[in-house]
Amino acid sequence: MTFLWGLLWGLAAVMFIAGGAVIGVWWERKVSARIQMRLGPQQIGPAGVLQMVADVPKLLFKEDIVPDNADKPIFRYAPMAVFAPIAMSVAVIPFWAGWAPLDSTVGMVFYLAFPSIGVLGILLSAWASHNTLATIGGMRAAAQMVSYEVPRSLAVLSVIILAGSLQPTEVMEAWQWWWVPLTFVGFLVYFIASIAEMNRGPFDLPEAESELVAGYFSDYSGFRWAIFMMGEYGALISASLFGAAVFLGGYRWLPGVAGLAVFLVLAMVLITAVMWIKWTFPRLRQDQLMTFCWTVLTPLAIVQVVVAGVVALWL
Amino acid sequence: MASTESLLFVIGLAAGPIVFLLVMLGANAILAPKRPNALKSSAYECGIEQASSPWRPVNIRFSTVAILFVIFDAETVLLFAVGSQIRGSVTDGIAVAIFGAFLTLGLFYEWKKGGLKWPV
Repeated sequence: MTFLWGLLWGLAAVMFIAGGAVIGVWWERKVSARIQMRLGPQQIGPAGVLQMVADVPKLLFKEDIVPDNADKPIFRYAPMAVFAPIAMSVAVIPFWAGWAPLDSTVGMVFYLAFPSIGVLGILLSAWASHNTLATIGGMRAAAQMVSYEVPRSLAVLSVIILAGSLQPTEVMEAWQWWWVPLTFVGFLVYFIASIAEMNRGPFDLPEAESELVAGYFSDYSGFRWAIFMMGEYGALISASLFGAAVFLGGYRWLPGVAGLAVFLVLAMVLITAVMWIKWTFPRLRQDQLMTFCWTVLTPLAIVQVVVAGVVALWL
Repeated sequence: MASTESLLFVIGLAAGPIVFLLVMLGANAILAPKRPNALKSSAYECGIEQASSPWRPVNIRFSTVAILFVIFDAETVLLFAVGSQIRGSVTDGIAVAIFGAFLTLGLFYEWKKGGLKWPV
């Protein structure tokens, strides 16, 4: 019975993420077009809103090419390990006062741990492709994603120390408005590290099209390629929701349905900011990327943890 | 929720996306054309044949990053467990601070040794 409930929520999370990805791709095309003084999609439906509804079925009709030299079973099924953990991570996000689909007592750790499983999927599919570009992309992705995991976890730790709980719903109940200025540095670290975790610009070295074509998914086509795409947008949606809830207060600003609306608007603002950053900043170099993580973000996150820890002693 | 119950829930949660993806991949297999040829099924390259197999040892710097990550992530997870309990207690705070100081010291040691530098 519990298994069936879990299955139901898993499917709901997939619908949420996949639907969000469809809207997100349209929104990104619109945002990037405006940044570059273009119009973006506008032919199908008003303002092109149905463009992605037409694009998804198109992907189902695309030939699914599996290279001869690839490690075929791993090549076929590794993309699932990229997408499934991200869809699962949405389940611990507190949407409503005292309610999350999976109200776990270790939800904060769950949230940080599960999306990181995606790096295994990326590495497996990159290695199984038997392609030089994919292998380099996969290695870069692994190095980048595990490195940025450290400042990201430390930034979240500052809120956990203040709230004194690992349960997302309890963290939300304990949240106070003055934590926003107090953990602002932590929020910035979380935000930047999250962009690096989802391999988006300016940290998109694993899939830098000017050097690696498409990086770890160079050899993927059809719906298997779409799984990577959904995983990327899913990570964007999930990280924005979690950041909006834990760092920015989420539903706590207003009571009832208005609070949920505030939460979703905050998350959408974060999503748009990530897109804005992607289309504005040039890509970093590999050594800059790694040095930035270990010598800027990690010390900043440690400072934030110390500040939060000192304040928490008198809470 | 009891622990077996939440475990079952999480397994269900994992089954959801996998079922969805299998259905979509099945639909793709039915709807998509299947006309493979030698060129199409070769590894993606810039119009030339693949020079050498990519399955070979990789640069050692990647393993340095991996080792750093294992050390720091293990310490962070330990901090997660104790950090959530220091609220309102100065003695507990000091105990955790000593542990956290080792994490910071380790980072600065690694920094000084040049382990954080990505050789160009």
